[in-house]
Amino acid sequence: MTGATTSISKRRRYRPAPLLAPGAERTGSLFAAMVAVSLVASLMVIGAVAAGRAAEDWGGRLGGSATVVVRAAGLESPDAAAARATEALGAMAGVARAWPLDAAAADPLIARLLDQDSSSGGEPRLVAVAFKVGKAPSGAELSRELKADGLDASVDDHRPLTSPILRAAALAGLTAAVVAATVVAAASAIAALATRRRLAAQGEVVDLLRLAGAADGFIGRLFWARSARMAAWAGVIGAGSAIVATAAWRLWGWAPPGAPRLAWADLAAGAAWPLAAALIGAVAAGWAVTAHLKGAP
Amino acid sequence: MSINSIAMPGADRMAHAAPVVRFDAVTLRGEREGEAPRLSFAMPPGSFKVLTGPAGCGKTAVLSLICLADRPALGRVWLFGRDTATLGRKDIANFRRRIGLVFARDRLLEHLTVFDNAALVPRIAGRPARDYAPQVAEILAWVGLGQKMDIPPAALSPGERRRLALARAMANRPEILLADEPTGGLDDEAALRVLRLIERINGAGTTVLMAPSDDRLAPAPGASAAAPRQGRLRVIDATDAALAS
Repeated sequence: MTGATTSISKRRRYRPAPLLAPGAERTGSLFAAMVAVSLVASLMVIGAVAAGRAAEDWGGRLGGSATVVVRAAGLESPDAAAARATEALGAMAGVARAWPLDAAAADPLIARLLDQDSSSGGEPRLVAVAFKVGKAPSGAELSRELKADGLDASVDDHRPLTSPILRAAALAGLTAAVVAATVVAAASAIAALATRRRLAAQGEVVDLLRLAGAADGFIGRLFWARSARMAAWAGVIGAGSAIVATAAWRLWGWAPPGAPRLAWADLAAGAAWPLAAALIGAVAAGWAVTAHLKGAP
Repeated sequence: MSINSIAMPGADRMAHAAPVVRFDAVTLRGEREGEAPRLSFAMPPGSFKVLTGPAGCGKTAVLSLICLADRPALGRVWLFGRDTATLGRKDIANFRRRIGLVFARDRLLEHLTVFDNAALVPRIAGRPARDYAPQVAEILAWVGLGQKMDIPPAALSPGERRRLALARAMANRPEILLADEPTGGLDDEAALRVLRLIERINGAGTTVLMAPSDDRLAPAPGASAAAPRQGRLRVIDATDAALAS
């Protein structure tokens, strides 16, 4: 009686053991597959964030600016003509700022513009214009203003260039969405397959639980918790590898042609994958268990 | 300690007007109509009945119908006053928690301790561990496993395993105990101990339906039976069952 009383008091601090038998299922290969999917997903997320940021940056810079080529006429010096143009443009409604470009920034552009506009005489100067959001004057309005001030100038409005960039960004976004859907489908399929394998391995336990009165949700929770844990761990390994790889890429500065430059902040996007993987694992396991139990009496 | 000191179904439960189980002209699956007699019987609360008949006559199938693991081919099975054909999945899970099951093969979870096995049903029912743990320890002590709570079932003798299965079935205070071959494979002493425990469980108010595998329990001469044809499944009162010497 004393022994039983001791045992009873000991049970007050009792923590129940997991109901599913440990190591009964063989899901090692599926775990490896989930790691591979996680690596791809994390690289894709990091790449998509970097591309999105680059597109926004380019679009923003082009969408809010123009470059004006000013040529001196008569006895006026090129610098004086550029200064007058800067003053005229700066006074216009919708212009946030106008400033003459220094030689380093101007030379490559001048070379291109001279090639386009070789008929005009005089040494050209470049004036950059930044617009206010939503109130920007058109290129024609800038040209009219400069002409009214007696300046020989041509306006290179960057805004028309933004549409192909935005189209390319939208296409990249669409591609990323398709890849994301494929990755999510692959991760779901792996998690569901692993759960079905677990259900088969733990069939006796599941059957006993059902006959003892376990609701579908109770049994489902046992499996989705395991699936979420497996997916999260695979996600941590996959995302960790992706972050290390892209960090090395960022450190050594190597990038394929046309690839956007990675920012350190872009790498953090990969860290969100394990959480997403856990969610996918839990949902896929829930479906698999529900489908399995639906057929049981 | 006695089973009477362990909280069993309350007087309110026992006051059911409806039988705990009722079979209305039931034909088991696999039996063709006309070939087998249709089974009808009722189990009032607190009754103790025994399923007898030769191996393969459908004793386990009857228990399967009551624990909602199967459906009858014909007829109706009523459980706790409800037609089982009308039960949804949630109802089935809830009803199963009101039934204590002792399986023919113990079906103990070998990776869990004796205590965790016994605590399975209250745990499934969602009761907090601090609530059911003392009760489970008490019932394990009652079946004579008080000193073996922390060992795996593999370390128990066949008789102890059967008593653990009985403790597991009773841990959530079921209204009915279904015992399939509770003495199968046990020596006489162990079998008698199990039968005495079942008897005491019934004495404390739990309805019991038992399907013995052997001839230890056979209908006494002149016993009333639900399906009185010789060589067929029969449902008799435990008081009419003779314990073979």
